Amino acid sequence: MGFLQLTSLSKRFGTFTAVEDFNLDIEKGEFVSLLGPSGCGKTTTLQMIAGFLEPTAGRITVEGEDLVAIPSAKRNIGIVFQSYALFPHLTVAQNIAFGLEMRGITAMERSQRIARAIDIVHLKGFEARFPKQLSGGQQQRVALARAIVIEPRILLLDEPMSNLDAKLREDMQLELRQIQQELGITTLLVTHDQHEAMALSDRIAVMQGGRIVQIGAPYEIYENPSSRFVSTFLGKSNLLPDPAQMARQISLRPEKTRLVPAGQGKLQGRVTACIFFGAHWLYQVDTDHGLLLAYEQNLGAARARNGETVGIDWDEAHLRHLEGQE
Amino acid sequence: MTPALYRRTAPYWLSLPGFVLFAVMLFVPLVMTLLLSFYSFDYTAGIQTGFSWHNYADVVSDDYFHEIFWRTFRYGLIVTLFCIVIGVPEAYILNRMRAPWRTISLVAIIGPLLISVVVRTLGWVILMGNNGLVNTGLERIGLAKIPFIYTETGVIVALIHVMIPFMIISVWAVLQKVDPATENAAASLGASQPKVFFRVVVPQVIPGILSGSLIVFSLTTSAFATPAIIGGRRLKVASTTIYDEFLNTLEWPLGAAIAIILLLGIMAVILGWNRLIERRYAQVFQ
Repeated sequence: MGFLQLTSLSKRFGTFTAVEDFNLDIEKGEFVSLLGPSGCGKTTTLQMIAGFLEPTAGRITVEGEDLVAIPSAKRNIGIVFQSYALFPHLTVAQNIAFGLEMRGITAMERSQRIARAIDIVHLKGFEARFPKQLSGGQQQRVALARAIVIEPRILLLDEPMSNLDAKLREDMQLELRQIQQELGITTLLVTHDQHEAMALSDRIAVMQGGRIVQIGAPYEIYENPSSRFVSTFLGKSNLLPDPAQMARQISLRPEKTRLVPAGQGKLQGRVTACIFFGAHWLYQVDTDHGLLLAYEQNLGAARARNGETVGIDWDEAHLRHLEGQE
Repeated sequence: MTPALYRRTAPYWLSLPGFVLFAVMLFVPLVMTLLLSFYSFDYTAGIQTGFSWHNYADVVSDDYFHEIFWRTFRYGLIVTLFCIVIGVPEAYILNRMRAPWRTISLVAIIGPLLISVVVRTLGWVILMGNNGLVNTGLERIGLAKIPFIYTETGVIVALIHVMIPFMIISVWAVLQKVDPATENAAASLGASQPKVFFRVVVPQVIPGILSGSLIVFSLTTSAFATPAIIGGRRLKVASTTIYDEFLNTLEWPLGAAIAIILLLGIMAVILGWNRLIERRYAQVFQ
């Protein structure tokens, strides 16, 4: 039985269904991501767990205890908001202290726990600053410290990295994962960023239209996407017609292809774009099946130029048959 | 004119019309009032030009004027306080309302500003006057009348009614910039509804409360129509006294001196208040 269980959860706003028949079991200490485009219901789900929205139907339980009837102030859930939602009128230390004060924790224990939280997020020396005086990355660390200092049963992360620049985001992802594992805190991340979901999660639940369309370990989902949506939302994918069934498609990851001299390989085409990404080259090849993408590891200069005719080859084992059109 | 010169001088000549307007309509009358306050007045000879502090000495040494000024500032303080207590929650509720209702409520709050203060105050007279709707009704059913006209409570209630839109609007303007997620954050950290309001919402709208207080305080202490109609001659405030000095006793220099003292008093409060804001909140709200 899961630590956090969402059972047949639904949320309707008038006639619009944001979340429908949502089922998810999260183990203690697990890091799970809800991944999906905006409007897929992932934030609504998070808000129902946090207690900011009441589910239309279904149950949310933590260790068997029903959360729905409990107000958010009593749920003991730590949340890092997309906007960080720091209290602008309080210093870093006061922000972190807020949850402890609300719990009536003595001043002495409070200062010890604040010091430990500040240590964990590497914010020593910033205790007396106000949020406005911090960079985006520092603000996010405060938000994280404020959420974990209360030792919550569950940590919810609502697109926590979306306001950081790319380099900082990568650093924060590594750090966040480390902190989460050290504390062993059960965590649910909501994101539309596939890289973030893959870098952080034990399991990813890909959402579409208020439902989970596929759930599993990042490698598992990436390698075996069940649908066209998953195969294109999580990573890039070449979609080829399935020779066995007309209505179905086959997914072929661009990095599973090889460029070969013209006349060889399984498909022929003309290179229409060649882009250098540092670690790899990206080729766009115009073939009978449309534009295909091919990644080549950067082992030397570009293998083909724009306008050149090339062959594309792959191993049959890398082809993935997708279910249905969507 | 070169483009660079144009760019440099444009702000000055563009603000010229506004400057002229303020110079003619505000600065000149103010200086004239200031000069007037140093003249003297004689019942037989009229206004005598000259320079003397005796008008100020009269005001400062007379208990009659002390009472008037004390009442004026007392009104200012009480009305400001009540506007905060009523206006802040009202602005908060307004901000939480949904689409059509928010606009409707906003119109209901701002709408009265479009009606003359005199008319609004006369509304109170019709409603609460000695022979007004409420008191006539109370008398009919055999209950005691509620004194309202010519009482300080009456003046204060009517002033709060006139001033509260200014408080609501300034608090509301600040509330719109407050991240609503901070309320959720506070709740998730274990704060009850009242704690969320007093420890997270109110501190964030303090700049709005302070600027609203400035507007309400200065408008209340310089208010004329409401204290004149509801307070009458018995409950004089600074502005009604100035009016009487100018138009009834015709002692213009004395009236001017009272006007200058009132102006300086309000300015002292405003500047002190601003200092307080800057010292306390500059760091937090830049």
